[in-house]
Amino acid sequence: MENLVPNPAAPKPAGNRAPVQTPNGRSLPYRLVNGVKEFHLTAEEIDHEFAPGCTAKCWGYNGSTPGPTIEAVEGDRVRILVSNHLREPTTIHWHGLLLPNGMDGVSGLNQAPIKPGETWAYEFTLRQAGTHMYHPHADELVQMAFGMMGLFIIHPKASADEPAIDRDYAMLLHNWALHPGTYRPDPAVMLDFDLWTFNSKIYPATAPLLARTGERVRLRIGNLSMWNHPIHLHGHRFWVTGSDGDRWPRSAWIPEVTHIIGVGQTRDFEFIADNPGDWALHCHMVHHTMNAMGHSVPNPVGAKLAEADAKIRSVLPGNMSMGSDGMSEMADMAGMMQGPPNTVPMMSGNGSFGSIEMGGMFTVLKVRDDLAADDTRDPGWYRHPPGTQAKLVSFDPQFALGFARDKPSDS
Amino acid sequence: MSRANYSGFAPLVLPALLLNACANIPADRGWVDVRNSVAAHGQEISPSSNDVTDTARAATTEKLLAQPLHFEDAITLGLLNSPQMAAIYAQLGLAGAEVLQAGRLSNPKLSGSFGFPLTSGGAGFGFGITQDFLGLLFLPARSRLARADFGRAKATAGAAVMQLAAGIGHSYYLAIEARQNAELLALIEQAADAASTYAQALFDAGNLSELQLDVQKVASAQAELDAEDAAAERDMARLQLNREMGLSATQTEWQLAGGLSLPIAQEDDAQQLQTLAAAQRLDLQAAQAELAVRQAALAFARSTRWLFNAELGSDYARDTDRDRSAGPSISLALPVFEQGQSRLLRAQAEVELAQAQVDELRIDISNEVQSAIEQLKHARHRVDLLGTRLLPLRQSIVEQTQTRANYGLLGVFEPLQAKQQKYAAEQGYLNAIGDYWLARVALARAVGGRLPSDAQIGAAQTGIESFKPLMDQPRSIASAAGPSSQSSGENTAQPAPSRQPAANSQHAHSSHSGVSP
Repeated sequence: MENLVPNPAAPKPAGNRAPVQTPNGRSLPYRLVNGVKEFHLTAEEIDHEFAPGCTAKCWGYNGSTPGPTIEAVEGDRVRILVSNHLREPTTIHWHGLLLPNGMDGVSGLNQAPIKPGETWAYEFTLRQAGTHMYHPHADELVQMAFGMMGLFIIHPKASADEPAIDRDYAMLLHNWALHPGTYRPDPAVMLDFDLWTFNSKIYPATAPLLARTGERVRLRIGNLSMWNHPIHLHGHRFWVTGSDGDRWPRSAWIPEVTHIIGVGQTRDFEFIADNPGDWALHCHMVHHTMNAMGHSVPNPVGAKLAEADAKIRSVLPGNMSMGSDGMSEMADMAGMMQGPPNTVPMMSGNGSFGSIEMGGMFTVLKVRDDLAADDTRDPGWYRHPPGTQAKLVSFDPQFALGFARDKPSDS
Repeated sequence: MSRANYSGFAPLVLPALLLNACANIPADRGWVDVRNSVAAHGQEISPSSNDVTDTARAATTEKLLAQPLHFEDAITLGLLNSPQMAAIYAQLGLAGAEVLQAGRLSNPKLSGSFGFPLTSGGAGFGFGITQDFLGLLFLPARSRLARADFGRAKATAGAAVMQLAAGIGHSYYLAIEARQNAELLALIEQAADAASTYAQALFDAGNLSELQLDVQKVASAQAELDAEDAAAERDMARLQLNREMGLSATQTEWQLAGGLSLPIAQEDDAQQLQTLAAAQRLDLQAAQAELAVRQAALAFARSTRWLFNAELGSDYARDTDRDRSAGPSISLALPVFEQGQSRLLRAQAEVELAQAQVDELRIDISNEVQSAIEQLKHARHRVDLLGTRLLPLRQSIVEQTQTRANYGLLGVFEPLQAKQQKYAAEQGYLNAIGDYWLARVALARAVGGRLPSDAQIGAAQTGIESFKPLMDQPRSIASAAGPSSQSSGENTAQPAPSRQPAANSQHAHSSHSGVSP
């Protein structure tokens, strides 16, 4: 498992503010030039790994997708130099930021495109706080489909962040049409995507989120995919405390366990990690927690396949007719079968009790009593205290509690 | 009548008897010469119905039919049993009769007369004998022509044997191809039935609509129909071969050995085949013999232009007054009105006709050879394209769709469909191989004998049993050296070797295995 050591070049948070952690990613360093925070983004083609066994030629910034998270503080003057190492023009739109019109980055509308080989400077003063994003606004369909995007986090001025956040995570949601057996996303797809990612990673390659029991955790999530995503956290109730409209007044906070983050929106969740354990955090669109899968596969559930399977095997000796009892065995067989090149199973991942049967937009929040404040190492699987775990009580298929099982009446 | 009075007949009759004694044909009507001739062209006759008794023929036939039939067995059976062989032998008899007839004189004519006195005296009488003088004179020349024509007849018989053997070979390959084609269509039917059964199971579970089910069922029914058609073609092809092997409808319990082989390594040189055909075609030799006979006949006609009916004879007479007389007689036709022009013109025209036939046959042979060479070349190219490109790709598609089905990316209908398409490609492959061997038969027929490259034909057969493993092997093996003659059943779906686009060559694309957190 990846060690979540923060980028040493990342900007130091002011005061006692926790550093933003971008799981599977990093924050962008800057230099101070005459009081201006100067960042440098390079748009370029990259080799990206979604998970071991699945890589692609993508486009991103500074060698990654998403690009590095930009962090600054409300009131900062920032200058962002953008170099174009693509073979086509690009721009960057600072999604949600209040800035001069000429800095908004819409190609043709606000500026001429940044041609290949050119470096342009965007410079403006940050007049707001909150979780924001950046992405191209030139050949947007292709460039975003290929992964060009990043988070732009503006911290409020000192003391505006109350109560204090102990761990501050940032994730960007995206979808990819990386068809099985291919090595470059297909920008023409509008609905039938193959991969659903947190920070351009699919489970089980998504890094877990860590928290010590009692810590206040913020989860910043932006959505630059083409679907809305109901993000669901197990074992905790969170408040939705902010968006691309900055931190909401406390009276507007919404307590939830699932919150839909619409396309182009950002949301901040805050919660007290008061429940030790390994807690699933995922999009609740169930297909979004799958990796590549067939969407027009005939449904075998409930079918009696013995005769057909014998006949099929006489024609296709390698055939494995699965799914007549459900799709779970697909996950069991995933590690045993050879799939198409560059394709991971639709669901996989093993926990201490077997297959987790997940993929895509899925990760684990690991809450531990004994985690040090600056410890970012994966603590392993949770050990359940006695009496706190479901247990087997019977092997009898006809098991009942001494009275007839509750069934709908025949009326 | 003194004996001396009759001695005048002796010079007339004795030479004729001697000449007649020289004009015979062999007791076998020249059949051994025919056998030796076709053997020299690569076609052994061992034996034929003309060589053995019916009992021996039946025994040999039974022995051959007890084993799976190879190409040579089919031809041996055909040459042994086909009534055409007896017909060829009978034709030799007809030609032999011509030789016998040409070598014999017309019979002498005996004439007699009686006279009864109307006034006084005794009865008178006379008799005489005459012989066609020209017939006697022309006898040696006519015998030579007849013997030359018998040579032509033997060449014609040899050509007929070669044609018969080629026809049997053609039918043999058609029968094998039809059998293997029927086997492939049965496999396609099997795959379609599997898809239909799977669809029925899903329909019964409530997961498939009736329309979706019917799409699969109609495909299965169509495949069954196609398989039935192929089975009918197989049976017809078997019966055709049965007929050409001279067997009755009660003798169909035989099996064909193996399947069609892949093309040989190296074909014959085209120019060499043209030269060979021009030198050895027996029908051309027969036509050339016919021309030679006609040319000799023309020369004979010219040299005897002024000779017409001439008869020599000897007469004896006693008239009514009992005077006797005896002496030779001669009668000659006088060339007053007809001086042999028509005979010459006919002989000349027959030479020209024979020459035209020789010339036409030369052109036909040249083009037949070239046509068969072209057929062979194109069939061979098709075999190569199918074997090294189309079939490995079809196999790869089967493996890839199978892999995707096992991974939940596709349903099972896709790999089943891919398998049927692979079988259809194998059908094309089989058809190309069949065309190749039929082209070789046509080429051998055009060349007039077995091809020099026949020596390369090995025992390895490329039957459906043996080329299935070829299809199901990974592409790298299938495209390398050719088929294995071993039958080992189908591989389980082995993934095709990973192919990555050149643009991604720097990627470390690892094959997937499960990833644990």
